[in-house]
Amino acid sequence: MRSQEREQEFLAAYDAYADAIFRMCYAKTGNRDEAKDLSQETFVRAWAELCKGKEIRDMRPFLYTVARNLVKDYYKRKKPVLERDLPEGVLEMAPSEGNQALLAEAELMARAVRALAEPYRESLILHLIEGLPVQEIALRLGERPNTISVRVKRGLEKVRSALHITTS
Amino acid sequence: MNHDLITLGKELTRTSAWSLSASEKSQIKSAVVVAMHTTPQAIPSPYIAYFLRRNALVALVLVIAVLGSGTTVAFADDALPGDALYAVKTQVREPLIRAFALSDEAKVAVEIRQAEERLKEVALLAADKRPRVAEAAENAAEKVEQTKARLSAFQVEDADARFSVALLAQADILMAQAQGEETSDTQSLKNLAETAREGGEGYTVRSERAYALIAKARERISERELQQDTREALLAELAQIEKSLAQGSALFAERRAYRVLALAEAAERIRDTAKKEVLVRFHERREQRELAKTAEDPATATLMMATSAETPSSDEDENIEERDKDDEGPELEFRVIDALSEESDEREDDSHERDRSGHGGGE
Repeated sequence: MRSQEREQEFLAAYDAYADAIFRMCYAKTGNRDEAKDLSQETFVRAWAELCKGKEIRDMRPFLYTVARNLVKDYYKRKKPVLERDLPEGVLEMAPSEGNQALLAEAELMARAVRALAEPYRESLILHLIEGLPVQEIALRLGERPNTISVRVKRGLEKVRSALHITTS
Repeated sequence: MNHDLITLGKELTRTSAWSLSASEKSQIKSAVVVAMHTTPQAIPSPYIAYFLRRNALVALVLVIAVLGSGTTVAFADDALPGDALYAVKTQVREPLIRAFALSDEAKVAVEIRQAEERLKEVALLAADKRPRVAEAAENAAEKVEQTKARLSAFQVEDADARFSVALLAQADILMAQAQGEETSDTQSLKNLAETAREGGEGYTVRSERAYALIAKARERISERELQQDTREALLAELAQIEKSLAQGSALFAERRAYRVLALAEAAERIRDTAKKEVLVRFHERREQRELAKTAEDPATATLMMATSAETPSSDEDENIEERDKDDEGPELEFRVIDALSEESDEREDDSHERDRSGHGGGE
């Protein structure tokens, strides 16, 4: 019965965080299928850790950590892909989905974020895609707010300048 | 680039490319659930753990088995505590079915069916004189409490009422089985029946549900092979219920109709599992005591029952005795007899012929 409760809890965590984990994986890889696989693997790994008896106080930062490591592994496996080769983003959006010009800009921004180096990329994904304030990002990543504040600031500068270059 | 970057981000996450669709989300979820059950610690039986760890393909097979029908995992639906496939049934298939129930309506139906299944398993174990009755009865009681608590979380009208009707029917059958000589197993059955009865207190009645149940029971009885007397008794009881419904007395009609349905199913499954026939009879309440005296027959597993608690051991049942017994329907006699007289080790040989639709009872 204990294990059933744990399962219920874990599945509730899935319902709550699967979308956010997916967005993070998608933001990093720019590939929906990969992002889905990585999200799935994130939860499978997290469960395996739980089963090994790992004490997890807060599920969400833990899931982020697992996802982050999986994305790292993913990049180690994959050969680097040039951003312009990715057949993703604006192209696959349905035309009815909102303001096209705005979305095009948004997609460019996402690419600029994706092109950032770590640790900026991750903070910027959480900041721009998930819309989280610095405090919250620090909480999720288990870092000090100051550190994140600096990362977000520098990251934003980089994105702005990248966008300036690509859009001008 | 006139827009605030955060606004852009918000815009982006609203698009379909950046979000999981409901079906994607549940697809991934089911894969995660399967993987969860292939993770060693999640599975108590070493045999199953070995079986599952061997090959990731097995996980795929399990998904297919749940989404489609048939194959090994559906097989497990008939497993009882102590069977090799029982862990697959309770640890793999049932959670998957729960995970796939998307609407509240469906979730409620699944919760009720799975709780009811725990009760049915106890009845089957006892009918087949297998060990582990006490253990299974405890699990079932726990499951009943859990389900009771869980149902209130759903916004489904009548969820509690449906569960109550199911519980009362199973309680009647368990109580019937527990009659006769007193053993630790019959005590377990009685305790479980009490739990189920308490859980079934206070439900509301819908005559349209009663009519639907009557139709369903009739269909079921005509489709299946049942002992002739049992079939006639069940059909006669259905006619009785219909009559009292027509006279405007709906109070216990739903419960009585569900009881017939549950009896038909129990008889079928005992026939399949234990290779024994079941004799069902209904008696007017006053005759109950006399019958208890005359029906003692040591050559058969005698299972007699009173729908209400007239057994000497139950002294805490005042509220049950206070119920209006006339409306509750006639007393039930439920006897398991060794009509087919096959040895129990032939059970496996024809298990593939078993009917697997035996789960519709709860809807």
